[in-house]
Amino acid sequence: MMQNQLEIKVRDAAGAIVFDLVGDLTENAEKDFDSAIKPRVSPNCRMVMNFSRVQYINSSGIALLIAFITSLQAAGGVLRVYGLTPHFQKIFEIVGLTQYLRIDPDETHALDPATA
Amino acid sequence: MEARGNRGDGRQLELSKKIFELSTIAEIGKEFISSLDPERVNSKIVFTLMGVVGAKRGVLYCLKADTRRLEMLKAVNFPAGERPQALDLNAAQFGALQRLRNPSFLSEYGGEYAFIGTLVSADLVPDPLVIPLVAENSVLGLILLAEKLNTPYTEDDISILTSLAGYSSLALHRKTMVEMLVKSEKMAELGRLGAGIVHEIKNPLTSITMLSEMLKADKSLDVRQRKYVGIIGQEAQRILRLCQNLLSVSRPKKPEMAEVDLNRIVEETVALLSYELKKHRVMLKLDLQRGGAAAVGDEEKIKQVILNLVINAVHAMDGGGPLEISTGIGVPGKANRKAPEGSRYLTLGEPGRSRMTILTIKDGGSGIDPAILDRIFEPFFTTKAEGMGTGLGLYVTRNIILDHHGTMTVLTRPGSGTTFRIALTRPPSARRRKS
Repeated sequence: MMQNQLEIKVRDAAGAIVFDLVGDLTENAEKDFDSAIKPRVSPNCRMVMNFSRVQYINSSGIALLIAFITSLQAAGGVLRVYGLTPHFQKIFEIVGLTQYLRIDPDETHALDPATA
Repeated sequence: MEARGNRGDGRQLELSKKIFELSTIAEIGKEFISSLDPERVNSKIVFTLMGVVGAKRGVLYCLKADTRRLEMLKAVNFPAGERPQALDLNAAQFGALQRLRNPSFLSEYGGEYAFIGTLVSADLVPDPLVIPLVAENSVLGLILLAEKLNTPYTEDDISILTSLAGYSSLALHRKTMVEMLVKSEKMAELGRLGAGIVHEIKNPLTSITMLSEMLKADKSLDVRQRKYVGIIGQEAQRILRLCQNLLSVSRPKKPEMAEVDLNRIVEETVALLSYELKKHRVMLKLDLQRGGAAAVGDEEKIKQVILNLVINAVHAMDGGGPLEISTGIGVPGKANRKAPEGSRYLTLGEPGRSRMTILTIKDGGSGIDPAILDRIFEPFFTTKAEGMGTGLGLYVTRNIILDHHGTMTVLTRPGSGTTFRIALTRPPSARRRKS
């Protein structure tokens, strides 16, 4: 499968940092995670990932998320995601990611601290 | 109804899991067949195995058989200060690793595998799942996985990891083969280029050497002039030796085997080097086997081996030091087991159990950095200052020993010197004399 390099756009919204992911989440995104996402982790930060323009996630992409979520949790931060296809919602559940992050239906819900 | 709904959800999850696993297997197979980038292959192996089961951390080790070193290739999700390190194995540990075939938790192995637990911090990875990477019946590496994010590992997880480990082993094996091929291609090209140049240099050098010898004997020159002529001759000899090494690489000649006496070859070779040894304040001690040290070999090539190793020893002892050359009869593998604490060794060839004629060259120099020990026999690898070495001496030495079906062990400890122990076949006549 031809993979599309992941692009990460960062913006602030309602006291959270939102990462709009565009492309494929695979091992090729390791450096982008290291440069665009990890430096934003701070104590008790709130982060949101928008997966609505992610076409493909492979097992390496899942591993990247695991590595990220465990370091985020160590800093007391939280991650919420939205825009995931039903298939990848199930994959997140199977590998146990849903114990560490919350899947929301859309950005409004993801940014709402009351639903955390 | 609700129960049926739950069953339906469970089936959906199971189906998604199978699709995910199948697509992972398909993807990794395709990726490993097409990718030659070693960094990419290493990353892909760890990330894939971690992600497919949801493990918290993963690390890939490759096992270097020649140095018995577990080298860390890729670690995912380890804090900077707790990254897994390389480990040098002893013979028993190496043997134990070679017996691994299937993934299993470290706690399920016996005490002989406890060293695996030292590779990673027990706080981060309390009981690693150890996945051996096996190709052509040899363990090429290991993957260690931490616990999963949610549930304990299941039999299904172990099955999918075993399949993926099979692909990863092939990728690792292929990577090693490609690296060797690239190196040998590079070597052959450099050798071809070198041969032409060396041939042109050798002829005028021979004239310089001969004429300087004649001039040295000329009584019309004063002492100082004769000294300078002597230096010209010695330097020309040095260049000739380099040329000889280069030619051996580009056009290796098969050794002409005969029964030789290592004692005589040692004495003749060190006589050639007496000036160099004196100049560098090297204290030579010879301890030669009484009654001769008969071996089967090519005299000229064995001389070249001694020359190369002695010159290296001299360079390793900046400011001088002891150099001991000894000959004897022994079993090469046995001596390796008596290696002193803190030392490392590397063996070329297969040390058998039969008695062989042993040549030992031991210096009191700086020793070899463990980090480069497995590279010293590579062509064009040198730690000497520019202009001091071509990086071919040990490569040529290695080829000569292997052509002789002999073995060579290098034993070293940083700061405590280096010992090269060469074992050559004994001639039938010597074996008969013994019996």
